[in-house]
Amino acid sequence: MTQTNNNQDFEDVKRDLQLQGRKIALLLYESPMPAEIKEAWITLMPTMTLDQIDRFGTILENYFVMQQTAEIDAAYRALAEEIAAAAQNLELENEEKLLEQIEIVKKLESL
Amino acid sequence: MSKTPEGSAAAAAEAKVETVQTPEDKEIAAYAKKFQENFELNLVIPADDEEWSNTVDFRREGYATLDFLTSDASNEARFRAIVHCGKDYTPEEQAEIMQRFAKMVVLQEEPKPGTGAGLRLKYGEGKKAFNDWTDTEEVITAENVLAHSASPRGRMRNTEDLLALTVSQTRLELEKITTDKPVAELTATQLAAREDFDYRVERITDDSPRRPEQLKRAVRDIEQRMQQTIIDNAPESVLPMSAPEKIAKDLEKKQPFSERMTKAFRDNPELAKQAALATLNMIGSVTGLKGYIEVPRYLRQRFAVHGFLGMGGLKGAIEDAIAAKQNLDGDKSIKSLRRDLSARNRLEDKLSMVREAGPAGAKTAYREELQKIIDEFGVRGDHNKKVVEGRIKLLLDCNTTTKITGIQATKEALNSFLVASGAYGLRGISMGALDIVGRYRDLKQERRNSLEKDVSLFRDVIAASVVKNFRELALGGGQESRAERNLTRAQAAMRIARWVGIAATVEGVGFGDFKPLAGADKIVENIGRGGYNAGIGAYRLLEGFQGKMSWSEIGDRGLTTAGHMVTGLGEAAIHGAKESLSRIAHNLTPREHWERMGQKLGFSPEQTDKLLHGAGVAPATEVAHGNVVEHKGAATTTAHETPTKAATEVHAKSTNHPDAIEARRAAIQARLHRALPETQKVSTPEAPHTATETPKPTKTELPEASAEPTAPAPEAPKIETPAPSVAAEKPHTTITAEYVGTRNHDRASKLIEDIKAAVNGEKYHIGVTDVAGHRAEGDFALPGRTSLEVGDGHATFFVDTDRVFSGEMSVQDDGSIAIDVGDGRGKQKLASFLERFTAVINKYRSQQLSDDFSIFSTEPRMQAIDFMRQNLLTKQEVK
Repeated sequence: MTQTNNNQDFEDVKRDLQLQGRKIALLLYESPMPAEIKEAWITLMPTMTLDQIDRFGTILENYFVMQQTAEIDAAYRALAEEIAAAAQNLELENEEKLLEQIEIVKKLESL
Repeated sequence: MSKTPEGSAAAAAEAKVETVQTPEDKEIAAYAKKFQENFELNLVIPADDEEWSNTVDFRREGYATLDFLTSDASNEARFRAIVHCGKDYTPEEQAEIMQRFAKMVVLQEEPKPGTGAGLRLKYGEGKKAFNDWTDTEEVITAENVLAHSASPRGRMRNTEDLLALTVSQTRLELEKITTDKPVAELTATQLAAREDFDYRVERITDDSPRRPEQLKRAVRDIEQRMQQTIIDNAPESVLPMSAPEKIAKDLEKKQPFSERMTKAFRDNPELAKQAALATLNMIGSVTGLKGYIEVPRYLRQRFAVHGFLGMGGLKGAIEDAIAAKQNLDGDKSIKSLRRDLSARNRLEDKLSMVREAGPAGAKTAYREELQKIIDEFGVRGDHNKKVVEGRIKLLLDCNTTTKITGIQATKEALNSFLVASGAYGLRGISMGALDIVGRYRDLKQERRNSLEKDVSLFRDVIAASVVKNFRELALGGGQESRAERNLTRAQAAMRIARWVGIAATVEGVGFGDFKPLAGADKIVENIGRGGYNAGIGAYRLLEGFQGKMSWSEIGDRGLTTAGHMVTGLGEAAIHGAKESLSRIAHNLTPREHWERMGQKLGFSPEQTDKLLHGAGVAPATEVAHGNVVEHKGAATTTAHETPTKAATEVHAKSTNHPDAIEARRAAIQARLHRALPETQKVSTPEAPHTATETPKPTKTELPEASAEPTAPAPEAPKIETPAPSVAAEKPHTTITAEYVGTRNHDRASKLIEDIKAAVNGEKYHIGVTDVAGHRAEGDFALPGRTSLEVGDGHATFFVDTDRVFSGEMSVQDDGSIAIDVGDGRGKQKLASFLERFTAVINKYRSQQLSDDFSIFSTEPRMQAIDFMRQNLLTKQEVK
């Protein structure tokens, strides 16, 4: 019974690891690396430690989602520029008002 | 801290002098009577957080202080007696008075075991002050002190109450003099004294942590003014002319308005400073919002709040962002600000009232209006600052949520694709490879089996799966021959191996040991230039990926997947925030703004520089000279860099387009130009220059005030700044001083770096020479919000308005400067800085100045700093 459970656990883990490999393969395929570099990573994969593979997969995933969500960053930057310009206009409005008031006070000196 | 016997204060304050019978007591009693009749005594219990050194603030002409430390086994208290002796007594006589008073309050009792009392006497002024502790075996208790504080006007109050009382009394005395008379009959000095007093008191808010000090200063200043100008009835002709008087005199001269306006600002640094700081606050807040360093913290905070709850997917997130933008455009506070045109109507009403007030009233009204305009300008600036801050915070908030939602949607789509493409469980996707192995390791440990072989096996499982699936995705039926594919693969592997190997060895990126493969360098060298570049690209790609990972932030392996998302999000969002804030900072370059502001107020560029120095801003001339402005974490830009073509196209139709803003700015200048008399209108200045083309300024050259607008309005002629004054002709220099004493060159260099790292803002130049003659030098600067308060014989630094970082600088009898920052939280940092700064000043003084720092006036802050700037910092040029 124990041996059966052991085998089942191992198969589950192995299946999940294969899924990780499939995921890395997909992300590597979607990455903008040159084809030969992708080939090189695949070639190096058996020599890499498990930790390296894990980190490499995470890097690829982060890069992938950042690419896919770049549109959000663009929208954000546009908003930021709008705010910057609006802030500048606020500043100018304040200065305009200061000038207006100074011009009015100027009349005081003629009395 | 000492305890304060507040409970018995009120009753004890009314106590009378005890009747004494011995000859000595009779003498004491006689003197006590004289004391009561002649002197005003106030007893003060310092606040718990008040340091003894603050006693020095009470010292002023005609006053003497006596500090008590009473102690016994059950009670310990500190008292400070402030005796107003008047100016009729010499310091020696004051000493006698205080000693006799001290004797009055000391009971002839046996000290209790283990207790004692300290008696501290302070009297006199400045260097003449006698300041010593005298140990005594006599026990001084709180009750004893109170029982003998028999002055009819004696009070037992805490510091703040006493000051409040003094403020009220001073106000009453002022009102006696001023309120019974029509405003028109008041002298300008009397009126200015009353206005100044009210203004100072109003500015001291209840929640100010430095309220006691501010109150003390206000009371001291107004009493000095009263003593000089009101109580002594001194002729105005022999009194120093105050800034408001100068303004009034200027008004009488019937000079053109612009000249008077400029002179008013110039003669009254406080007005100019207020105008300056009002705008500066807004810009500084925008450009320094949370600081770049704090942006990640902000994002992390927001991330923690919002978590992964963003809904609506990528599309919904973008829609939310657009909705947020619309909300921003419809900000009610902005509309209300624009509707606020009542100020003009109010001024028109004021104008008609002034006509009825006569000449004296007109002068008063002019000053009032000038002050109100400046105040309102500052209030609006503060409001604008809050609006912009709110927008940026909302933007960061919105972007964070949107980005999280987008990433979540993307990952879900990816995982769904993987799940749908095979019979896999979601658990396997959400875990990292190490987590899966960890799970298996736990199972194995339960069964006490070996792991290493299994881990190696798992690595092979992943690698085999990658190879298999990538082949399916990329190669399909295979368009290349097997030999070709192997050759390409080997070449690429060598490139990666080489560069990754170098990275692992030299830079410690920790991406594994590829040294066995690095031995194939000769093969790599045969790849050629293209292969070489490809190798560099591979390394950079890896390096870039590495940069996106912060493994330490991921923390617990149980959070691996979430941590990956956080890390990835954080990097991208931080990058976006840096880029956008950098652009905001670029668009709102404070120095460029200040050039324009200085122009409007009629300042020369040099004068604008001085103003900016006073406000803690780098000089405008640096921008005019095209110096590079660098923002941390963002691309380096120049102050005059024009917007990119893409950005121009994006906002071509917007009222917020840079061209539209420049046109509006030009219109403001044109209005100002029309408001000025003909004598102030001059020809168009030189053509704009770029950062790379701008020559360095010489002593006789005036720096260009500002860059030309890219699309100047034809009706907007430029206004040249007035001819420089004699003071303005001094070249803008920074202090150069030697600091000798470090033992080696490395330490000297490190000292420079430490100073540079510790401070920012106004620049100084410091050179450090070690004993062997090696030299290191560099620019350093005072912290932007450092203030220097200078009194007779002492000066106090306040850094960042926080008293924790404060220290007292005093001139010793031998002319050297001593720094005492006391003990307390975080003062070592300031002490280190002040030591260096003092060394610089000492060295400079020994070379350049023969007088001491008493030349600093009692008016703190700006005058003292101006003195340093004009007399210390401009006498020696940068080498």
